[in-house]
Amino acid sequence: MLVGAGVATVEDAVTELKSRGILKWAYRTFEILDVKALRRVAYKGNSS
Amino acid sequence: MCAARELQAKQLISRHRKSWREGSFLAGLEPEALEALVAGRPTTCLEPGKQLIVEGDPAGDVFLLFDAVMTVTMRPSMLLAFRVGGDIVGEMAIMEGGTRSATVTARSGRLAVAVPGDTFMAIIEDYPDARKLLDSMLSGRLRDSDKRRADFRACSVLQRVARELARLAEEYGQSGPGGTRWHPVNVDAHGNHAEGPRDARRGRGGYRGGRCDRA
Repeated sequence: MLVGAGVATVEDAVTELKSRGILKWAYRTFEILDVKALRRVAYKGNSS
Repeated sequence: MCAARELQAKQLISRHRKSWREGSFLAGLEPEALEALVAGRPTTCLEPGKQLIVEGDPAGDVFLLFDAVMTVTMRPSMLLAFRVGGDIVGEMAIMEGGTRSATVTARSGRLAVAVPGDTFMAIIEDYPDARKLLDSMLSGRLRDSDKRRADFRACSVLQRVARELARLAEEYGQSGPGGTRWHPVNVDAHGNHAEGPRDARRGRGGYRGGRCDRA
């Protein structure tokens, strides 16, 4: 599967990262819960 | 250099140095060069929303950010970067001899030191290590810009967002038991200030996503 397929906007991307448990987005703070997973998405194109 | 000014500069530096971002320009400067830049210069109080630099204006001062979180934006609505304590802004127009290429706005923080552009360059030229540091910083920014341009062509939106988040976390994040966190700078999709100041002494930049449609 193409990484990010169906993700068209930044808002979609953030929602996707939240749904994977990578990112927590509170009102005033971002928290990256899984840095390794974030880097996988960012640099290796691993969608899992 | 006048002894009183020198002492005042040393005290000012000493008060803020610990909060500067690791790898920032000011953190890497040799003490003598930093004191020469700071001594006798006016300080600017950074109220949230205050524009230190406005895109299109003629070049003027270089600002040394002692305690700050700033956004760098370009018209019409592009958020280019964050700058925090230890960084400098305004040097590009001085070096090019042109106009300001972007707008730099305070989001939180307290203090910047304004150095006239020609004085800044004269002092930098007096200290070869400072000149190397400035060149290295500009080279790094150019490399970042190239990476982003390549990402824009080659990566999906999801990958670009993930890369930007990873980069922000690396530069400004604060590791904790639950993961990596950074305190937000309250900006909307257009880089406008939305809320009050945060603690910039921690040197944390941030990003509030909202409806931002660029990555």
